Amino acid sequence: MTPAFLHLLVDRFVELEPQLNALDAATGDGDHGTTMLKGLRAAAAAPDTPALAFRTASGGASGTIFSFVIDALVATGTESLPAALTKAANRIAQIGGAKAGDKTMLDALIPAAQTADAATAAEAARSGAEATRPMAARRGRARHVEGAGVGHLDAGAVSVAEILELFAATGGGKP
Amino acid sequence: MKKLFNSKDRMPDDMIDGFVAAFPDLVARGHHPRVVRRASASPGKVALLIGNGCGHEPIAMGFVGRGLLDANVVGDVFAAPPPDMILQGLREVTGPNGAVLLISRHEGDVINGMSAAMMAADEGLTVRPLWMYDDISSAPKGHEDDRRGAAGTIFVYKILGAAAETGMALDDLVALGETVRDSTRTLAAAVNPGISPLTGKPMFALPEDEIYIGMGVHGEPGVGRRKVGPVRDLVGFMLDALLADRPIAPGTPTIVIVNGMGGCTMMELLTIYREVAAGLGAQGIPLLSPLIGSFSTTQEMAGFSISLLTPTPRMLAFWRAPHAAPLFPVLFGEGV
Repeated sequence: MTPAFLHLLVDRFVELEPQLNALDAATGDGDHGTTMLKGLRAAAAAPDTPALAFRTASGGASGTIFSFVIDALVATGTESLPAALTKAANRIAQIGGAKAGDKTMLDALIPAAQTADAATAAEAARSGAEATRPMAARRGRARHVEGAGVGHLDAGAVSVAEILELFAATGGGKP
Repeated sequence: MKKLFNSKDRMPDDMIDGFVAAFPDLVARGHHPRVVRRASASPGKVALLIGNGCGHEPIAMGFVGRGLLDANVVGDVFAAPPPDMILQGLREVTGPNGAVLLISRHEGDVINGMSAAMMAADEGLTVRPLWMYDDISSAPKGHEDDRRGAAGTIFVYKILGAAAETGMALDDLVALGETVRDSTRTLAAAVNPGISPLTGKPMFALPEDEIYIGMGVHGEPGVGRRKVGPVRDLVGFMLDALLADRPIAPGTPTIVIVNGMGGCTMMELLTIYREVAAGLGAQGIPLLSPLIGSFSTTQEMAGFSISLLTPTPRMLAFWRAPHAAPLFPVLFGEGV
């Protein structure tokens, strides 16, 4: 990932903010797009420590969780994207106790980590995000709402798909 | 609703200023302004600390001191501190014997605490997270580890704090903490909401003649409602639920915490203890060294919880051990 990629992410999440907030409103407190954008803006302004800047600005549990995805993007400088995503998925599962099928962002991240390159990772993340629709939440934002969020996409999983699609489309922001 | 603060931005910091100014012999600010630690460390012991959102005082900041916590990392109002802040607290107090990071099971606290423990391990510190959960209303029997932390966590703080002071090793402390947790059950009831200091608004709404059973410490809605009646009936209902979740055999010594949530008077809490003692006494359960007062609060929320622990003799001795934490009470009682 180049520092420019963080700016591309900011531009993309400016467009996505209302849609992600609406998705989150169905299953949580309706601010996922806003907190993602807040974190990404801070990360783009701190290219040396983007993950730290992201979780400090974004705040809350989801700020911490997505900061591990930012870490993974940084790590693509020295390792493959799937290897970096595997490390992030393991850490996120360990800190939150969530597993595949719990209707969280891991449902997009885990399949992406099991691919061979950025393009297939993006496709796997998108299918994983779509697959959260019929799931009942056992962890994360939708766990406490009526019906455990069945019938709605998980906003965090959609964010993972969006990040990885932009990564694949731009080669991680390579000029 | 009127509140007595200077500004929203400074609420946690002004409170910490007051606390360390009041008890300079016992507690001090750490290098990080949101870390509160003992004024002087006990060398060679395992460190015990927790990070939590503020607004629940005296828990947990007021429990820093000899024989209790080594440090508390103070987050914003009702918001778990970020992992980097908890990591800073861990760096300040973790020595060669390691640290137990207490985590009251709420989503932000778990995720940020576990992240901090992982980052500390990356730096070579030995940190063992200990999840605390006791609220029987937050997940059904059989799913105990999905429950959230409530006032029964006070048993873990005090007993592990005293045990660590005796030089107990890290693995033994974690095992003891897990046993205390697994021997504790809590159920809460609320009659009136607290007012958020951030918004100035009540944190939930409840009809004038109703009580919420199972209210969470952040104003999370309860699991059931009851009509207001004599408190004897309410306490009887709560004791039945607690004993159904974890039966206590007649003759088993038991410690009770009656915790007020900020808006209950001592007059009410003592009345509640009267009914707890009568209800458990009728079942032949002897009660020892209770804790009665407002220790884990949600601003002026009117409500209370009942926590029950069946201690081993060793746990009971640690519970009663002397300490020097400014806002933890002196516990009375001897014998078993």
